[in-house]
Amino acid sequence: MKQEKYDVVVIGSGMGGLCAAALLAHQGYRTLVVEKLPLIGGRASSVEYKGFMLSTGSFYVETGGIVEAIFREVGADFEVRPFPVRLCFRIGGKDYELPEKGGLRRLLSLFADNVETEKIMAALRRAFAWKEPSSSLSVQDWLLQYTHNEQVLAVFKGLVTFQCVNFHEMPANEFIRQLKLAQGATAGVPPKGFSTLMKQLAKAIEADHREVWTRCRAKRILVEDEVVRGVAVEKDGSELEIPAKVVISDVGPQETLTLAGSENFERGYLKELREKVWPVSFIGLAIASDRPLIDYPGVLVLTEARRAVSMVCSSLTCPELAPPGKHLLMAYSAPGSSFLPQRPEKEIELVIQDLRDNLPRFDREAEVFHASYWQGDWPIYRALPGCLPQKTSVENLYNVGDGVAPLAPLGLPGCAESARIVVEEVRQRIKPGAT
Amino acid sequence: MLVVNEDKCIGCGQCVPFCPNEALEAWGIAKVKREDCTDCLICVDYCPVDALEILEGGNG
Repeated sequence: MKQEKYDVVVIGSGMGGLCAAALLAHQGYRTLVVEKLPLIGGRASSVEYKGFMLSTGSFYVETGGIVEAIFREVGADFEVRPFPVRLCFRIGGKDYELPEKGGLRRLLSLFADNVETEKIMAALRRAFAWKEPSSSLSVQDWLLQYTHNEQVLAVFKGLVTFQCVNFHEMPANEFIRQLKLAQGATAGVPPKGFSTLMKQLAKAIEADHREVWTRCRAKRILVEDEVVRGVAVEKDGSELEIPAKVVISDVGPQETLTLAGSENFERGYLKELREKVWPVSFIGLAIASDRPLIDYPGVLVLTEARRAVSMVCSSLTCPELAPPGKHLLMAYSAPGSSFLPQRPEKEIELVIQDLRDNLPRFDREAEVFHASYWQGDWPIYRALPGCLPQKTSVENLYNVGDGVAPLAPLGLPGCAESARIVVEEVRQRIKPGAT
Repeated sequence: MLVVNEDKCIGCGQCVPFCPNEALEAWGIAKVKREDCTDCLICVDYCPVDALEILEGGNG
């Protein structure tokens, strides 16, 4: 059996895995990425279908943040078109845009008197500047201490929808953190799809002894005496053991455990993983039409529908995502529960009914041509940020990705942050250059 | 013969675009349209949760 030796093997080519690999490769580490699928990028990839570019998960990427910084650092092209971070809430059949500066107070004051508005703003101020709310309350329950005004609650429901977790399930502290992090944030959409963006990152890795192998499945993470030794993979039909000093897993903490064997982990680590890591489910529908189904260039949220649906007509910002003469509307919603199993067919049907009720031309002009229900081992987030550290109890075995995101914006920035933390750790512990 | 392992399939729909014959449908759990499926098995590699399986001897 031919053996190649790398400093680092990264399992999985999602945003966390490729960021970690690109940074390490750039710093001289002999780095191998193994990806079981034929395409790279994981849930930050895209695929063409019926002439439309569909994302495998990510909807937009933060610009000017950590993701872009890592791309630039490793010399990868970061081709992203600015996406208007504007939110509009449909409340009582009317659309209200969230004004940019001091917007929340102004919006709330449309629905509540001064006393009530001030009470809510004061609670928010305290949560921002003094002490964040408890994680044991949902945003909804936290807000119900201050208001029962349905329209005011609808505004907050709209804001939470943007975070992809249900209003009644999003922990209040996480909501506040995400709201803080979102201040002044800008975002963009890769006009050629996420797969093109991620290919740039992979290209920045590839050099001598720095490789990305697709269609290569990790079978086992090799562990001896609670120290990682490498990875056994299946490549071209045969098994190959790849020794490495460090293994970085981007396939989620649960799968890492399965690959390495739970008997190799410390009990406290296993308990934390079991208790804290809850994948978040989400629905995404791709809808084609000749004319745009909404004219709004930002995100329109239906706050009073069966499900809180957020919609974005991606082709208004990036016509390249749809074939000529066509438009692409993406409709997203959390299912009845963000964390507990639901019936996907029923949940998808409810979102379609909401669209039918709210878009006047839906029945005549819309074609829902693809549905995604992200959950379980392929969720929208593997966990909320801050649940689990990147280090495992097995020496030199790390996780990256959204299962172990530190306190960071949800999604891609959290994946990139986790990669940055792991790379710093590796640099302090191990010098590049395989023995 | 291609089959969907319904215990594993989560309904992400990722397999659908990769079928050259439009033989996969996913409104929730994926379904194989038998009349369109040629058992080319391209889709199998693209399932992120390994829910597309080959049932041996099913085509005989």
